[in-house]
Amino acid sequence: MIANIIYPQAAERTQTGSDYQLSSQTVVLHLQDGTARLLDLGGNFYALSQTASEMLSATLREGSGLAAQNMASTYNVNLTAMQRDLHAFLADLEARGLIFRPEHPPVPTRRTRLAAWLLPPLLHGTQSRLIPLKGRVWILLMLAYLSTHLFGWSATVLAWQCSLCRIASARFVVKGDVSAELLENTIHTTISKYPWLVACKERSLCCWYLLRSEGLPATLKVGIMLCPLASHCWCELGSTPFCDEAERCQQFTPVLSYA
Amino acid sequence: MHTGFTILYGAREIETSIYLPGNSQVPPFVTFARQDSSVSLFLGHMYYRHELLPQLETTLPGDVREDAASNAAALVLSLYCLHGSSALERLEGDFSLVIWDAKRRCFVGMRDPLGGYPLFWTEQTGTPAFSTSIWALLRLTKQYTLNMEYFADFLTRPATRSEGTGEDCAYTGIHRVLPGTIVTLQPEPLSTETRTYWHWLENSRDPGTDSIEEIADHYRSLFHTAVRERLNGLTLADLSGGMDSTSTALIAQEEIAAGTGKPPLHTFSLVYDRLPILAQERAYIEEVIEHEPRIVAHLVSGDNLLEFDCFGDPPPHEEPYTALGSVAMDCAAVDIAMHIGASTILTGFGADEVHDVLPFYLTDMLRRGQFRKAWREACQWASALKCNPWNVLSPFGFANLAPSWFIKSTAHLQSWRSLRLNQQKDWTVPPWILPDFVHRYSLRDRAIDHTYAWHHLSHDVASAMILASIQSLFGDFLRWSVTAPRGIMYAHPFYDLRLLCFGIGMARRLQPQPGQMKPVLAETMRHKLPEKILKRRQKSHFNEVYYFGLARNFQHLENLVRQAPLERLPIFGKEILLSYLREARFSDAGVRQLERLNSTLSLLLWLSHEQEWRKQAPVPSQIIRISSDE
Repeated sequence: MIANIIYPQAAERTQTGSDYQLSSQTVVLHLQDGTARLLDLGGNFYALSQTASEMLSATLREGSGLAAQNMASTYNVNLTAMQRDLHAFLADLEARGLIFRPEHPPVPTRRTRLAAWLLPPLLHGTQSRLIPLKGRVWILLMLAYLSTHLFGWSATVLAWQCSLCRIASARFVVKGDVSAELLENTIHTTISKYPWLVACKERSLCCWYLLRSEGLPATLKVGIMLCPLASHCWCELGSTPFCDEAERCQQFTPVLSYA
Repeated sequence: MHTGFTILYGAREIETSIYLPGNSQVPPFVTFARQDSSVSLFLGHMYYRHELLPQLETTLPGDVREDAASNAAALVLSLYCLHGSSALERLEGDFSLVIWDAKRRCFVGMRDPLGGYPLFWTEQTGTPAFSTSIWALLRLTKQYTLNMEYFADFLTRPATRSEGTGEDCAYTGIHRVLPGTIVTLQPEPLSTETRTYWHWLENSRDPGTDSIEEIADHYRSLFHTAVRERLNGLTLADLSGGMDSTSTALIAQEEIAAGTGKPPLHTFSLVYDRLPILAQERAYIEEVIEHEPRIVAHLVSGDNLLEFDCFGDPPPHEEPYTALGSVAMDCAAVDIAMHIGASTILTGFGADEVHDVLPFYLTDMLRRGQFRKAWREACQWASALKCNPWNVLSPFGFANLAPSWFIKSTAHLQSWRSLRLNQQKDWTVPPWILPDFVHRYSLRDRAIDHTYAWHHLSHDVASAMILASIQSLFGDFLRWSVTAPRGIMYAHPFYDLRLLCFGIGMARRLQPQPGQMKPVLAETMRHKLPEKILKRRQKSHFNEVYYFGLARNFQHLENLVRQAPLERLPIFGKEILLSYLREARFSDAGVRQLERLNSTLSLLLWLSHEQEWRKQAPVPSQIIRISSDE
């Protein structure tokens, strides 16, 4: 079972003086048995043994130098060997983009920049009232599929959030003429006949975008299940799963939430 | 302690040894009968005996009829003597039996169509014999050679099987009597003949109507009878919160209230507090208990009954068993039964095979070129399941289109040695099996043949899948290894032949509809099951039990691999196996993808204990010798 979850923002606040920081793409789940799971929002999972989990926590908390010293002392091993193992481990995590050194912060990749440039206007285009609701759902599902596959989850969500912010701040937004019930029925019907294989990511993005653009309080959730290690995305309206099986969503512990 | 019998053809005599459980129950597990020089031995329980007795009424003396009424072996022998082996084909129950026919001078061995109890035979060293125990036969032959063909089969067959798919056993020279077959063994001159007497499709019964209500009416009647036949003394019924076990328990309660068996009905439920998904089941269990105050409910915490827990102290068993890891949960029910003095445990197993039918008819549609129709059907399922049509059409349509020869030819192109656990399929060979063994025993072809064995069961995929899932019911590890030695009858009303045959006919007639959960069972139990259970879409899975069990017992499993006598069975690469075991602990591989790992661990456990168990020769409760010259 999950003992606690560390988010990048929370980690940043406690990581004063550490020579490594958690990437903004990484969520750490510490389990009750002492092991950990890393969720990389690019879609990968990593499992850490008890020792590896301790190494990471100690490094993020007090820096790699002090972490190596304390662990060498605790486990009664040679300090040089511990330093070597720790640095090899941290180098591996850094190569995978899970942690970074403050002096080498990750720069937005070309993909992220391209997504931020390309997607918002396309998304904005789906707001045209000339397009029937079913057509909008159709296009959004395809956009969600293409953007997650081309740009990755984080870049996609960032771009879609940008678009929603623009809609929210636009002066000529027409709100409230599409009910949540109509949206749910339309999305549900469209997905059940969609000729392309769309999964929870596409469904949840589409629901979230449409609900938000209608001014409804939707949240995009990412959850994780430990047995087996798996993730699921869904949209909630209020606190109820929208256009998804509530029983299915209950099996996942929410770890990320986008309003 | 072994429960069963052995019968052998020795020098000038037939010798039978009977092994009874520690606490003998009524009716007895093992019965013996003799008519003139013919003898019969029966292990298990016979149902619908009252329908067979009238056949003896006018033809046999009163004392023989009286004996047949209470002694299953006597009934079997009487029927056989009157009508030959064709009479045996009408027997219903969970049993294995052997007859020594003194006139024809041959043995006739038989198992019920679901293989309720085991039966083996050997003809080595000039002592033809049948036994319900492999080890008893090995003691006769004094040959203990492990059968590599059997292990090749074990490692590639579907993990749901309790016993081997063929006649081979874990040891050479010993043969299995398959469920639904009769083996005739003539000692002099030595000859054997095996005949399959039971064919599921031929015996299936079409309900004759598409009306769910009418089908449910008939099913209800059969279900009541099936439960009634299995009520013996004090009964403990499994109550898990699902539709199947709850239905069995409620019908049992009705039958007990009407005078069958011994009141009150006890129920057994595993409840969870620390496993979040399984903790949700408690509400369903309590709903039943609240509405049935006459039931005595035993709620046992399942939080500490995890997968692989029983690996520390496994029950002795004669062949490796893939699902051994989950036996601890089943044994908890047996412990309660022993504690309260129950003589019967009832379960809800066997309902899914005919009630929870999946849309494999989509494959048949695609085969007939009805692509548009298949797509429309898939869309309906997708709408009910809130998913995409490809989530339905792919596994239940396209996945089964390719013939096995095509899979074989493409499988050889794939590098199976580098597959991660989450890439394992039903027909892949695990990377930790040594290449030499893989090639020598054609493991890849074998695995594919097993996965696609359903092709031969019926021309239409939907029926073939139903029959394949019924085959997965063959054998019963817990009954043989745990409950029978303790004198407890372990019964599954949904396995009743009449119910299953009607169920097959019903499943073939009624196309599964999206959004309807077990419609016939729901209609059968409409005014009995709580609404909450009737309306639930799916039951919680036991993944948490598996993965937490794997984590908790990980050290023990690692030690098992390191210390297993692999030199006796040169199949596995130890270090590769250990690396995959470590990967399994943290993997995103599903439980199904880890089945080969479970099979491997179960095999290693069996190998580690097998010599020690084999040496524990039980003492027969009774030995009877009859001259074979009579």
